[in-house]
Order: sequence, then structure tokens, then C-alpha cells
Amino acid sequence: MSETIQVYVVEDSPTQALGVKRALLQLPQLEVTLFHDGLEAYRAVQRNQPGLLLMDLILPSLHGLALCRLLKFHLDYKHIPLLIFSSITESDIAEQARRAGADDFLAKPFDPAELVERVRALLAKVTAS
Amino acid sequence: MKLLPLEVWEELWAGLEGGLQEPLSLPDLRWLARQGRWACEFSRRDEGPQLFDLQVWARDLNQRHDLQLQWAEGLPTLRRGRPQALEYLLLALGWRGFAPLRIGGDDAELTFEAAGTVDEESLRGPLLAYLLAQLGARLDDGRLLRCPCPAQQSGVPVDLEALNRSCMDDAEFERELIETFTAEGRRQLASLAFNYSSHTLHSLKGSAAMVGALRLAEMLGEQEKALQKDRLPELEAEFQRVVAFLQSRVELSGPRG
Repeated sequence: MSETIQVYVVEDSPTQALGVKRALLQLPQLEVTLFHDGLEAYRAVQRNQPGLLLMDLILPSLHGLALCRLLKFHLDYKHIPLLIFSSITESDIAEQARRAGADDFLAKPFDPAELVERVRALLAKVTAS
Repeated sequence: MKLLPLEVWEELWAGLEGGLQEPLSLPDLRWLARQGRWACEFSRRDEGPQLFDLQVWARDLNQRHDLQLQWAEGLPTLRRGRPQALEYLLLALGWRGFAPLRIGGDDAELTFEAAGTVDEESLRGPLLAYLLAQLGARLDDGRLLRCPCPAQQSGVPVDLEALNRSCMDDAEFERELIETFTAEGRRQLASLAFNYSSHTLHSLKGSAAMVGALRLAEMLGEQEKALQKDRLPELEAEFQRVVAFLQSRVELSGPRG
């Protein structure tokens, strides 16, 4: 039996959080916890590190890019695979996310199947390393 | 729920004989209209008075297509089939009043002009009046019927393909997503009345896109940058259209399983 992987999803919109959670149900080894606020998610990571973190950019309390930097520039958390999704339309937003340390970026609205594929790929990378 | 007046239903039920063609491109529509060889059959669904099944076809093509119309919250919506069907229904009704009919206009607006004497009575039936109001079409001097083209005004405010994709064809999840979106949207719009913030507009934009309300998402995206609070009533109106459509899907899917 495969080990359960804790996934934190940081998304302030209940509708979108629900959509992400439902998509991730396709990967049965994942256990999803939702957060609606960047700071709340950061404190949760400090208490208990997840195996994967998916997050929006525009968040209450702490902007997604700031949260991403906090985690990815910290020795204890930089190994946590992190995917950012956003509907920001600035042309270089994906590049900004990568510069902040994100492992992947997905533009909204996305196909749930695409999200599942990206998550699979991130987890495979972790397993391989 | 606001229902269509009884006399409108009776007219729809009893009176439609003109013709309706499966939505095609604008040139195709004009060609078929010139031929005047359309046909349609209506039947009322057993589940309730607001549902109509339609079979429509062009006699020359001999290919039938199924559509399903529903009225919910006072809006005619297409439950199954392609969204331009409502405009075609209007055209079919116009045919009854205007025949023989000339079709003109451009890509922004279709114009239907009677070539002969117009039968004012059949022209001004309650269903036609209702559809005129819903579709933004208008009569000029009892001779012309102008109707915005589908690209300018779609009968369906939700892209069903996008909605189905988000829901992964899971009906129970679709219901949950719609309920969540409705509650979130109402809360966000109420908050915009006090604080017209780009954060709230952005958040609702993403949710609207997730349920396939692409026009609403586009409007919210524009406002996220422009921040013109006087446009809030337009956002609210489009949101109401989306919710009416989505709620009709929930009602049609029956009691929670």
C-alpha cells in the first residue's frame, strides 16, 4: 500500500479551492488540507511540513510570491515541491513565480486533468531525487 | 421563481409551425431562411411545465437535431444543444409573422424584413413579445425585426464545455460547485458595494471562469484593472443570469442523490 502524501492547497476562493480539491481526488494517495490565507498556510508548514504545496498568488495576509520566497529560501522548507496557479494576466507572471522559487506554474482557468498531470510530475521528481 | 405567463406557454405549445433550423453559421442561416424549408417539432416534458424538447431540421438536409429549452428565473435558456438556438427560435417565429421574409444586416445584427403584408396579430403574439424582450430584438414600424447576433448576445451565459471540464462530468460535484459559487458570488458582490477592490474582483473572476461563466469572468477581469464602481450593476446583472442558468441545471438534475 502506498504512503499518504500531505498536500496543502492555499486558495482564498471557496469555489476554486473546491475545484482543486476535487481534481486531486484522482490521486488517491493524496490527503488534501485547504488554507484560505497565506500566513495561515505558512504557520501550518512550520508546524507540519506537507509533501506538496499548491497555491494561488492573490491571497489575504500574505501574497503568494512572498509566501513562496519564505518557503523556498528557507533551508528547512526549500525541498517542498511548490506549484503556483493564478489568473493574473501579466505576461511575465510565470517567470516571476519561478524567480520566487516555484517549481511549476499553471495559468487559471486550468483543466483539472492538467493539474493532476503537473502534480504527478512534481511528485515523480521528488521520488526520483 | 418567475414563470412564463400561461398564454405564452399555450402559444409555444400550440402555435409553432414555422420552422427552426439547427444553429449554423450566419451565412448558412441566411441561406436556409431564404429557402424557407425548415421544420421543427415541440414536445412538453413530463417533469415540469418549464421544459420543452425540440427536434429541428432543414428539410433539404434531412438531419434532425435535439434541443431542449427551459425557462428559469424568467430567462429562456438552452438546457441542451447549441446556444444560438434561441435566436433561431426567434427567427422561426418571425417567419410566421413576416413570411415571405428577407434577411439582411451584418455580423452585429440580423434584420428580418417582410416583403409582403404583415399580419400584425401573429407578429405581436405573447411569445414573440417575450422573446423580443429577452433577446434585445425590436420591431420597427411593424416591418423590421432586428436581432443581435449570437456573438453579441448569447442565450446561454455559461460555457457548458468549460463547466463540464471543471466538474469532470461528476453531477454531484457540479451541484456542490454551483452552490459554492452562488454563495461566494453573492458575498463578494455584496462586499464590492462597500469596497470595490481589485482583490475581490480578481477572486470572483477565477471562480466565474471555473464554472464556465466566461463572459462574467471577462467583465470582472476588465474591472479588476479599470475599477469603475458604476459598473457594479452590470456585474450583478450578469451574475444573476449565470446563477439563474446554473440553478436551472441543479433543479433539472433532480433531488440530491
